Amino acid sequence: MDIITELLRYIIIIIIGIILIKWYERKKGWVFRFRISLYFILCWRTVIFLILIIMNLILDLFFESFQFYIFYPIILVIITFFINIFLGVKIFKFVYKQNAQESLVIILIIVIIELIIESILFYIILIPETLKWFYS
Amino acid sequence: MEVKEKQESHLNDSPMTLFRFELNRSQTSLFLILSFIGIFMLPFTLAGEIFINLFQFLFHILPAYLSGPYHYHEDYLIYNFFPILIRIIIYTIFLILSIHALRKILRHKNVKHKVKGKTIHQERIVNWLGLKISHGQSLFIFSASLAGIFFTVQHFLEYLLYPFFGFGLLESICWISNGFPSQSTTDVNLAQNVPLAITAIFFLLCLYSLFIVRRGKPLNPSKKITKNYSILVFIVSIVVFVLLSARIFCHLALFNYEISSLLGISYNAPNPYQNEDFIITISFLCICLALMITSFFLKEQNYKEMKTSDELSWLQVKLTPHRTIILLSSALLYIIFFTDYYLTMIFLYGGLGSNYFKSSFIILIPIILFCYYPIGKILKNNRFENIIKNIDNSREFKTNWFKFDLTRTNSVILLSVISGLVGLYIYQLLLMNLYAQAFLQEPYSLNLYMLFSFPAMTVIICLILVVIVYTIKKTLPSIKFSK
Repeated sequence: MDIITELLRYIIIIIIGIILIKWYERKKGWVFRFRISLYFILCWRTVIFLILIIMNLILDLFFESFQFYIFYPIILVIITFFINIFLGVKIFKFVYKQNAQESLVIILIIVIIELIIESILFYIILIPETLKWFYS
Repeated sequence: MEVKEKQESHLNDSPMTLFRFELNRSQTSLFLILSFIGIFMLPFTLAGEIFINLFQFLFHILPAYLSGPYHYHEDYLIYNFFPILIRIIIYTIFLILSIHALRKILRHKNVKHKVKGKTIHQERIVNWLGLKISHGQSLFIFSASLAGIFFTVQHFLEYLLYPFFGFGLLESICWISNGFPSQSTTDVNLAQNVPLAITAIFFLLCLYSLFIVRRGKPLNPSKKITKNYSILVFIVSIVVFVLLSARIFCHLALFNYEISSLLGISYNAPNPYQNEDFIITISFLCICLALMITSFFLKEQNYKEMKTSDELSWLQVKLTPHRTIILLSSALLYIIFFTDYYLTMIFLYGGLGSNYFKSSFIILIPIILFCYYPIGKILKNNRFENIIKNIDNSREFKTNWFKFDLTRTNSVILLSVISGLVGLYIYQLLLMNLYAQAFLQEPYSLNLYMLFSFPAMTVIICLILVVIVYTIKKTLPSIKFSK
């Protein structure tokens, strides 16, 4: 885990997330202040950011000690997808006082955009590193 | 106006036909689930064949061969290229079949005037290898045979094109261990021809099933039909029976002087370990035979005479119509995914008695049982038909998805399939990134194609995920506004 990449992803997702949530609020006809939307996305993303860092540290320890290769991506899916969506829906319900079903589409869009950004950042770093290593 | 509405409702109620089979609502929904699974799963599989295997051939195997052709076998390129080509063709055929089924089901208005040739009606009973099966069961046999034909043709051509000893299940049948680690007795002729013969038998069985299920006699209410699970027991038993028969043939060909001299194979004297293996194989063969005979007697009355219970639950969870469809779709999706994955692995690398063979079965059998339990429960006693009818009661809902008009039932089915797929694709995305990290850490010149392959695969997964989000957005209202 590279902490700078994780921080970069965190910042990008907050910027994209706030734009998407404001768009969704307008689409639904809800009137909320910018502060509320920012509060929701900051709470949700910070909790997930902390969980990811803690879990990565724990997984790195176990990954080297017990070598449970098959479970590693499964645990990642549970954290980056299922727990991510679950917490997103719960925090949305708490902040906006709306039905959980209302939030599902926007939460899912943000989570999938996050995963796509993660992949883009991953290849942006990996490909130049590989070429550099190869030509050195 | 009323007359027009009546006419429209009559048109929508006209029976659906697919591959000439007449389908009721539940069967149509099941085929819709299967076609959605195919449409969403096969592009990724095809992309994997093209961007990973074909690229490996073009940028790794081919340059290595061209740099020094005299180091390799003269048919080296054919052995490596044709299996990829065969798989690409087979997956493309499956994708076309899935799209055909989807278009036909979603654009179904009144097929009575459009069907060319004879329609296979529902009210019939089929005699399949001595088992009396219903129309619905014959549809399952038809689909399984179709998949089986492609699977066996793929392996048959691979064995034919690659006449060397592999590490798969069929090759390992010809290797009779003599009790010492990594030491077995076999003959070149046996090891080359027995796998071909087994795949040919499976191919003929599938071909026979494909044609025989289209024939049937009119349904007689007094006649009993075979239970669903006894068909599965019969299929598994017959497959194992063929494999064990091949192993007994190998035993006789190698260790019986008369038969080995008749076949032109060098005679080997069996040791006690090999004699024990022969007795164990015969015992398992007898068990398979007993299971096959038992499945002939496991019959039930025609479902129309049975009472259907209103309450349906799974692992203490009460199943509403929507939950039932979500559960059924997910179970079908995962049973297809894991069965295809593990069977391919066992046939290619999981030799008899190997650790891979054992570990695959330890994982595969619980998954199949876990997935079969809800499928069997939901499809039993015509329950699924009632569930579909319950959803269809409210007709005010309508949405469109890629120029297809979806009813509430079809929307719920699509949403159910998508909910099962989204987790799977997130897993594939993370797995692809892990593989990329592992492969690109120490690259070399022939491996550099992976710098394009892995990002290309990631782009495909991302595109599918975007389609999944679009689909969820379109179909989520189908469960939001239902009672």
